[in-house]
Amino acid sequence: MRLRLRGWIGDDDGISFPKACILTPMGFKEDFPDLEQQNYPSLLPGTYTLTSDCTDDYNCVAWAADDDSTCWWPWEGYFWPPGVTFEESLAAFTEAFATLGYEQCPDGDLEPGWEKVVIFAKGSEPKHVARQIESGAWTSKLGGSRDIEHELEAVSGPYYGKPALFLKRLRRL
Amino acid sequence: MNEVVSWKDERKRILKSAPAHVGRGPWARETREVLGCRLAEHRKLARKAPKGSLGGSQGAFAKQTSIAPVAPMEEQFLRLVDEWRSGIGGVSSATQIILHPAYQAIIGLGPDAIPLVLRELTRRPAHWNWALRALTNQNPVPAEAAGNLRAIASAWLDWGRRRHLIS
Repeated sequence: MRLRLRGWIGDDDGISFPKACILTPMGFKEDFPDLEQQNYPSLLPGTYTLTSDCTDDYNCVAWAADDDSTCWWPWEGYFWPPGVTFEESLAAFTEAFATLGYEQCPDGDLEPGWEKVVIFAKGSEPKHVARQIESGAWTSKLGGSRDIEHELEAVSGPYYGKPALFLKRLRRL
Repeated sequence: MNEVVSWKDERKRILKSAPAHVGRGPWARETREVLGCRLAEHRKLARKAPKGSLGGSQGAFAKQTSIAPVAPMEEQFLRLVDEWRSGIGGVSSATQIILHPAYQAIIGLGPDAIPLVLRELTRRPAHWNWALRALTNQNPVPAEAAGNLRAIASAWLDWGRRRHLIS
């Protein structure tokens, strides 16, 4: 659990280090002032680590595809790999990642030497994509908010639905 | 002198300036709700108006100084931007971002909103490409900039500066 310094206790004698300090657990609202906890019921302290500030420069699909300067989505004005079906479906998202060498796999278990992505969906509509890092944790860009490392199911909920499809490719050096 | 308009005229103006898809499609109900809220504000203002200050049996209006003006365009725009941003906080889907009722209502504000959207772009490159295309019926963004919100913002800001819509 990450802690945040709330203040200092001690004599005001000009000593520049603390004699004692108060530490309190960081809350969801402090980590994600632009998000509502109710949309991420499983994103609890201890299930994630913040890895970036808020930015609109890229979205979750781009981040999963290792691109931090573009927003990917099958919508006019957004990047979508040329030749890939232009629709919001698991099949189209699978095609998009196939252009990067990914193929479908049964689960998100860590396999040394392989890099995985997971597509979260509500029904058959893709809502989010996350990428597995070498430790076995997952990295996600939460909309226009921050990047986090998290447990697979930590971002499941009303916004992103649940893991619907796993893809993998040989990890690149 | 403040100009007070009736809700009927405001409704006509909103619908006239709304994009062709407002009133149709799966998001139409939400869009109508947002526009409905704005009309309700006008009705409330009309009810509060001093007796005789509004012309016509329907409360149709005249140019008045005695009634508080309707929310200026900028205030309305900023309220909708706030509503949109708080509604799409963690949303990854561009479809959901663009079809959010507040975003659609911003498009419904019509061409008067163009300088406001451009000004918003100077503050933070965001998903304004679709709204600006709908509002201006133009597309200054080169194909190779697709998805690059900074390049898209830059193309629109150049477009706006050439037309003296922003400084």
